[in-house]
Amino acid sequence: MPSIELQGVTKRFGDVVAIDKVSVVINDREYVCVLGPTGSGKSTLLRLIAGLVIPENGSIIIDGEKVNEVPPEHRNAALMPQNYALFPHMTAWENVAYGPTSRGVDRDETMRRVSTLLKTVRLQEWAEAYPSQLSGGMQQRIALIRSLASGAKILLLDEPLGALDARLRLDLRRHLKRFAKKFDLTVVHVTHDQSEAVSIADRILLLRHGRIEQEGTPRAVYFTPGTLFAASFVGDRVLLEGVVREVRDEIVTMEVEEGGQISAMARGLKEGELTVVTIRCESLRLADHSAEDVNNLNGRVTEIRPLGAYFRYSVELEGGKRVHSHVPALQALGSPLHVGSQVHVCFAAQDALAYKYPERGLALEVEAL
Amino acid sequence: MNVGRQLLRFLGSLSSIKSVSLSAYGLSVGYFLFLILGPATLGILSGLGSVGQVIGDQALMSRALSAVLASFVLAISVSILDIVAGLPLAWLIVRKKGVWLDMLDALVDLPLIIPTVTLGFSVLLFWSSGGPLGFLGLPPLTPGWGLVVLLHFSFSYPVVVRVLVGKMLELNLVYETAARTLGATPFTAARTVTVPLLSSGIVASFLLAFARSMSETGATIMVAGVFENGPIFIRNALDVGLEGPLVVTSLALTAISVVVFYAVKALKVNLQLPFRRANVDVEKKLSRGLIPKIGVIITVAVFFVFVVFPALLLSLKYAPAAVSGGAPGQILSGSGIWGDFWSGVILSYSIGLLVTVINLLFSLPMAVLIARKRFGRSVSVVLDSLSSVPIVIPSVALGVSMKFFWRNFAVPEFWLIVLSHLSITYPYLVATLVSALDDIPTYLEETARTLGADPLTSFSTITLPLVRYSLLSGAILTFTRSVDETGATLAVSSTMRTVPVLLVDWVKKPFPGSELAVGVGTSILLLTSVAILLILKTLSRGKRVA
Repeated sequence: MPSIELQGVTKRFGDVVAIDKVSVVINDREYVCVLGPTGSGKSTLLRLIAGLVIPENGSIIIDGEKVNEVPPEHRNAALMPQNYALFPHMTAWENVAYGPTSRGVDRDETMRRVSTLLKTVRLQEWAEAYPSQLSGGMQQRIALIRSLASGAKILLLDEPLGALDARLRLDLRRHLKRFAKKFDLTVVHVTHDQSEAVSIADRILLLRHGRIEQEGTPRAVYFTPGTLFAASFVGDRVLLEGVVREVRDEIVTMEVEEGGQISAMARGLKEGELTVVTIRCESLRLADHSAEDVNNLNGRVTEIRPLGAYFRYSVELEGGKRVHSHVPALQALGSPLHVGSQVHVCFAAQDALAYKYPERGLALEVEAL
Repeated sequence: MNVGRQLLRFLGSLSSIKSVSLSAYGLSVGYFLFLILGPATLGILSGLGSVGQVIGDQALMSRALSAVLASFVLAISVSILDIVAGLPLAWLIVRKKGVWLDMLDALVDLPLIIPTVTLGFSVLLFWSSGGPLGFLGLPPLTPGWGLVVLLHFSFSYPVVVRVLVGKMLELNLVYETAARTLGATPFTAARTVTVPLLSSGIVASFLLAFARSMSETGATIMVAGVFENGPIFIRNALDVGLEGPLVVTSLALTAISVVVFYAVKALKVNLQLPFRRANVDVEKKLSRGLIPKIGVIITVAVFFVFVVFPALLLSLKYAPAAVSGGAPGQILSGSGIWGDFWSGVILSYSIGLLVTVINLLFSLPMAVLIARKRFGRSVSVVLDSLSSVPIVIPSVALGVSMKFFWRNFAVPEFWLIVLSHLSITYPYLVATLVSALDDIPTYLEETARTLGADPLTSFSTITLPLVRYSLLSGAILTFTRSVDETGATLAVSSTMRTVPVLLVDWVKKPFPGSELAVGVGTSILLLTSVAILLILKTLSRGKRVA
């Protein structure tokens, strides 16, 4: 069964280290999203597994066999690039039949496979169309079944939804996942869109500078990010800077620039240290009065925007810093707050995560590079 | 059929093995270095000893120098004329619509498929008969430098227009539109936006025209009279069996070409022409009213008077005789001079075919190697620039170098001609294939590999079909250039006469009825070229690419 294992894999392009000693196991039939900013090495990771680039160090193991020297055509891992790479001079049918034909599968079997798959994605009427005559969504489906028809059990998706419009993207997320499960595929899906990764993956690998910053279930990555970068990259968060005043078990209390004290969860912080605390926007509550003396910051509402399921309130804290609070739409509709209201911004200590202040500065650390 | 498929599968599985593909690339590089580049450049050096012949001889020396100077001045002025007259025509073809413009577009290719020797003779007839000059009350032109300029213009102009049209088609119209919406008049927009974006195309076409003019021999001899440029001087020196002038002139021509190539390329990088300022009033006037219309009329008139009519005249005059089997029934029977003619035809076409097949076979792996950077970026850059070196060497000089390089190896004359033609056509073929491959994104082939195709299969099912038009046009170019080639062939051959060489002989050493013979002979060449082209075009019209 096709599991994928990387052991200390390193790939350089000239002086640039694209993948830096990465070790990871992807289980059979697992749906893994590789998430990371542009240039983090996501696509290189995919190309390493596909066999299109060869690592300088480390081993790539597919199905228990080391495949470093195995050419792409013998790895049974089909790559679907962002623009799908449908062959422009072949019809949809010929595209789908490409894999079995080049693997020497006999004609009848190829016919059977291709027409079954075309039916699965309800494109049998488009069999004779050329890629340029298909819509973006159709092209994506053809590319998907083309990978399957080749007999591959490993599917390597490079930004598979990136070229589609927003609405279609949401629809196809669900479709992709169902498709993968239906055909027992092991999928590595590369994306820079954190909401896509969170909503589709069994497991997320967060990549940064060619290294794995964090790996875990969407839930773990979303709710307990291991590093400041992970916290700032996944989900919308507020960042506040402060100095640690007291450490008790896993709770630290700190003084922030915006005035007032904050209690947050942290490990390994010492008294007197500079710290950054992150709070998810939906964990910030806005109240017109509050008696708490910790986790209670004063501010003024400067903007209210309805963004579908939630409203985004912009609040200017004392000292000028602006934070956003996401309030469920129903609740926001009944709220008396308006632009100009004085508010208290409150949150629970377990929703606030504190990290050591990064050596190279906050802006550089959280910038998506 | 089944055996063929099995063989292909076997070869395909071989191509998965690294050492196999490495040796295919190695072979193509070896072919290039030892059969194309080496002989073309190193041979001439072995003749350096004979330079004394020229340096000692004052008269010979000054004749050689003035011939080289004439080549240089001719090539530069013709190339400049080509650009000045070619830009507006290319612009017309790309930007305007209409049936007559499609016709214009097709006509541009006409002089490209006419063998230059044929063109030379046609130009001679056109300008030396009463024709257009008589209409204006001027005396007809006699062979000499004036006719040479007209001839070189007519064969290099289509090349320039073709390249510029190609580049303009690639150009996104959005920039010019943006300039117009920002307030630029059409002329200002074209001058400040389109032309600068086209600069690489202008430089490329200028250099192509320059190289062709420096190299052309056969047609030039036909119209030159007593005028001598580099290639003609070399040919005359060959006639009297002097070696020194060959070496000196070849070296000087090559040196000038190299300098011009690098100077023009450097100029393009360093020189920012004053595109910035707009002389609003003048350019407004140039964009409106009668002036653009007059511009169009002049452009089209120049094209017809200097290119189309001279090229077509010959066919109109002699083609009927050629088709009907000729006034003297001996043409087809091959008696008299026509025996020489037909053996020349057979020789020319067999060489052309051989050259095309060999070069295709060896230049395809080379082009892949360069375009796909198989041995790394720097190797690709070096091979790419090396492979274009033979373009810079005028073909007569290249022929001389070939002759010297192989003279100690007792290479049969036939193969010497083949080797020279291989060398001359190689750079064009490689360049055509490299640029075509550059346009095919690598991810198509990569995806095919992950779907289970071995390297040979993915190349032959994905890449090859996508570049097949370039492949075909490269093959046609190679074939026609080989059939057409005169300069290098004159230099390396002593007893064998290809058709263009024979026709040049007929013009240089007239005999009773020779004008008719040359006319009929060149017409047959022309008709055959057109026929071959049509057949190839029909064959290549396979499945439509969507």
